[in-house]
Amino acid sequence: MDFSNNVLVLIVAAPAGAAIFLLVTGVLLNFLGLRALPEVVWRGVGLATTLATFVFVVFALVLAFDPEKIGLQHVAAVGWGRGVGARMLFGVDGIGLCFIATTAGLVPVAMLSSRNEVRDSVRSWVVTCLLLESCLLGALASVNFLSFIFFWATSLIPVLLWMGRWGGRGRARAAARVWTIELIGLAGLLFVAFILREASLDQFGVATFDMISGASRDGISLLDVEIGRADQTMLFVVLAIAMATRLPLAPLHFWLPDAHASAPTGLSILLTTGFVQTAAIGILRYALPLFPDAAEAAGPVLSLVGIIALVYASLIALVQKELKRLVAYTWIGYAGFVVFGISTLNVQGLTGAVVQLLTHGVATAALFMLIGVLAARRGTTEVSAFGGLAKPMPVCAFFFAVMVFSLIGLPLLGGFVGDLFVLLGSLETRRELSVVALMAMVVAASYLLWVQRRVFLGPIDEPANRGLIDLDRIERGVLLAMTIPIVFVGVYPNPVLRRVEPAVLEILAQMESRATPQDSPESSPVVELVDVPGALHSARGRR
Amino acid sequence: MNPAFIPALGALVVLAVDLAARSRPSDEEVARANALSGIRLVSVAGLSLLAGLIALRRPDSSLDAFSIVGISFVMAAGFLVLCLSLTHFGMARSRPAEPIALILFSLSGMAAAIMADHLLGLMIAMELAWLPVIALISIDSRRLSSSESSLKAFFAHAFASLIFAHGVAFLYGATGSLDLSSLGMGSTDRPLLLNVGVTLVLTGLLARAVVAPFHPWSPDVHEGAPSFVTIHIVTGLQATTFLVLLRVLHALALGDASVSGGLGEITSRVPILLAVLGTLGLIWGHAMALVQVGLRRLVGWLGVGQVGFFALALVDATQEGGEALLLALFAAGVSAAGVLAILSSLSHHERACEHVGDLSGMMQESPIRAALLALFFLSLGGFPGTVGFVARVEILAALEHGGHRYLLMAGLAATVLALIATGRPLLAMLRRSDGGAVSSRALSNEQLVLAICGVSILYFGLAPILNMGTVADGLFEWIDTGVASLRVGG
Repeated sequence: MDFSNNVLVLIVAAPAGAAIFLLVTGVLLNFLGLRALPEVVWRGVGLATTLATFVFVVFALVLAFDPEKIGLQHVAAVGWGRGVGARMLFGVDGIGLCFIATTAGLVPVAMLSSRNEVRDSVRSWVVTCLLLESCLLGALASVNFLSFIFFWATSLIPVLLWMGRWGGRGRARAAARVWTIELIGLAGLLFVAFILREASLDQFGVATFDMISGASRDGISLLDVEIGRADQTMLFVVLAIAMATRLPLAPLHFWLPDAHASAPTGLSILLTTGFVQTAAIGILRYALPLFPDAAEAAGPVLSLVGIIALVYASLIALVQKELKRLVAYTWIGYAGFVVFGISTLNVQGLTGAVVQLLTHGVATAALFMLIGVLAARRGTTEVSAFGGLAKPMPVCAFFFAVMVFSLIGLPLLGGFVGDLFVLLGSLETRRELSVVALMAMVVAASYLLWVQRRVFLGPIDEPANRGLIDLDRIERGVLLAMTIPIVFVGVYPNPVLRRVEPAVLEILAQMESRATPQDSPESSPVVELVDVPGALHSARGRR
Repeated sequence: MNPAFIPALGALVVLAVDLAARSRPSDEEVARANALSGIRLVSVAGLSLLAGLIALRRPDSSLDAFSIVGISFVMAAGFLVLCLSLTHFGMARSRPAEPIALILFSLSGMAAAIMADHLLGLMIAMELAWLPVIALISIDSRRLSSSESSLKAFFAHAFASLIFAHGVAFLYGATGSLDLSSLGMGSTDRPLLLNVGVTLVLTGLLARAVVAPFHPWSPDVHEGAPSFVTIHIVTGLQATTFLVLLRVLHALALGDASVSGGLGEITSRVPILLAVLGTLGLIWGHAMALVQVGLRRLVGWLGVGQVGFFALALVDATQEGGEALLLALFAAGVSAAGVLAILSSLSHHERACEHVGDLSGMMQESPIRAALLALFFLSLGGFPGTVGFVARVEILAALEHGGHRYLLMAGLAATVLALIATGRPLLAMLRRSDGGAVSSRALSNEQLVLAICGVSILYFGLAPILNMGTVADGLFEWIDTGVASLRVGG
């Protein structure tokens, strides 16, 4: 394994380094009694840093990623850790690659979206954005469980800061709820970490949190540690609950609507994408491979929970009168659908779940941005305040329609690909529930289309809506940049699927190799439905 | 010369210097004169601590490694306390010489207690460490709460001393010896006296250590005492008591459980006692912290919760818990010291920053202090990236390694409560100012304390994970060596 590649270390460290530089510069200017730099300088430096990070991700990571190669790439380690087994170990597979690229691409979008909302303490805000980016990228790239927890936890601080300092009405309550629920998730993660550490000490005499063998001095990883079924069940449940706090999965979702209602637009964008993707990484990279028996046993329960979340959120969304809360409940519903896809434990379901996170995440983020535009123009986000906006704001209406159509799963848009794969996967193993899922998706489509019609179509009843100004050039450019990947994935999903599927197959292979052999003639769904070695071979042979 | 005597000698020198330099400033110049005098006398005191540290490192020192580690820690804490005390001397109208001398006498007592191998010597040393502190608590004569706190601390101390002294008497009656090193290996034909003696000795130490349910006076002292005195209590005094407990537990553990009438029979029940009391303190302290409005009381109740963690570390005192305890004492000390130093810097003219709500607007008005206060609170709560987290991980890992999974779960639950409690001041700082509290600039001595605490928290919190570990590794190895010396036979 080649550890000379520090691409991921640079990607994770660059935004944090820029943040420290901005902090130190500001302190020095203050200390020397020099005049503070204008806020456009801070915004420019922040935007340049995030754009440079994204460009670096594209060229050094995305284009350099070899889809033929099985396993993690660009592995890099920082430190050997003292006794506790903690250190920073980074690596990327196809799933991580897509998540990292999405997050890196959306941070500049988030900064641009919030440019009119943040008017004071601009330097602090830019520092906050950059630190959040570092923390999210670090969590997505981590392949050491303890460093994943470290980045998971430290991402809370900039979220709290951003919401509490620059948020809207109700931000204090929203921030307190986010803080509380995420701490519960953190406690769960730490509990799992301690048990795993003890298990690795008992079996190998060393404490390790690495997820790849050969990365540590002793060549031991968590995947080598055997965990009994009873312990697996307990740890899987705890880890799943911890991830559910962040996805969020009903009934642990109560913080999200308040958070989105009071969060600035940029933060809403990142909460829906990078923040959520860290939870998905936690399930896919850690929960499934480490506790395969428990994952298999919990599959039906997870499916049920996911469907209930989808149905529940869809019904609640129907009665929402405020746009941000409505879109937040939309996301909660789709989070349930993602969990439903994961619970199928087959290639199609898992691939669909990942693609859903990508496309629905971007579409939801774009909706939040559009709602932010409406809020800035109109001063409110109440559904009843709008109507017939397609006339004064046709471009806004167009982008809104594209995102809604992607969310409801219209063909040729990215959402369709994810929905299709999840449903294909669920038809194999969860046929009855897939019917319920389809019906819930119809409900979701109905309220989204209702919002689209209510806000943009029909006559203009409110005089204040007549003179609304459409999107400016920056907003159009940003939304176009978000629309292109959604259309691209919908029309030509192969580049994404070529990278995601091998990673999914690798996860399933790890699960199979760690699963307890079954004594009964019935084999586990993983073995029955997917000829993993054969699938790996065909995945290689396809190219 | 025994290093324990050096701070006491320094106290005498301080008093002598003050006597020699006594002048009579006019009323307008009292504050300035006190401040200048304080700087001079703190410098003298600092030199005496430095001499004490040098004496520790002498090759012909007869002290064990554990004593060297412990005394170094309390003396370093003493530096911080003396630095911060300058703020008080500038603000109040009390002369600095007596408080500085009292601190030095207390440090002498702490050093003697840490190195004591004899129960009677230990008792006297603990009295020497505590009695000056009771006087120091009431030193802020402008406030009634200061005197009230002092009275409560006195009664708590008297109660603990009474129990401890009775325990010592029973032990002597049972074994005929008061040497710690020989106590564990002795046996008696009066097991009841032995049982009672050990129980009372441990109870006396636990009461002095603010372990629940002996804690009610602690938040009141946090509220009433000046900041530098509170820091002295939560760093040096608390560390001393727990280091003494660690030594006593190691001595008891040398006992052979198969020897009839020996201490080994009793010591098997000690971990259960510590587990119960520790869990009680954890949950009680952190739960109460959730509902506190006053900042100092919030820190006080968080401290009660922290002590619960220390008690849990002692459950496996002779295994990994000992090392974890020392790291936790260090982490809790710098975190609490940092918080109290910030509160001191915010309360120069009036006590304008007493409640959580008074922190509103701090992020705009004083962003550096707000960031530092956030860092200190997060470290107190055990947030990842801080030394408080590293310390909690060590304790909880030791508990899991010892097979105490339920205690691990209790510890994690308490960490969640602690972080929720510390989240309230963080969120308050983010609120926009409504023109409430006036914030004053931190003085240079406060800035020094804040810098030391901030750097310590970040460095020792991030070093294990970022491989920046030369100094951090050195500290951890030093702690390991110190605790290992107890196992060799102290």
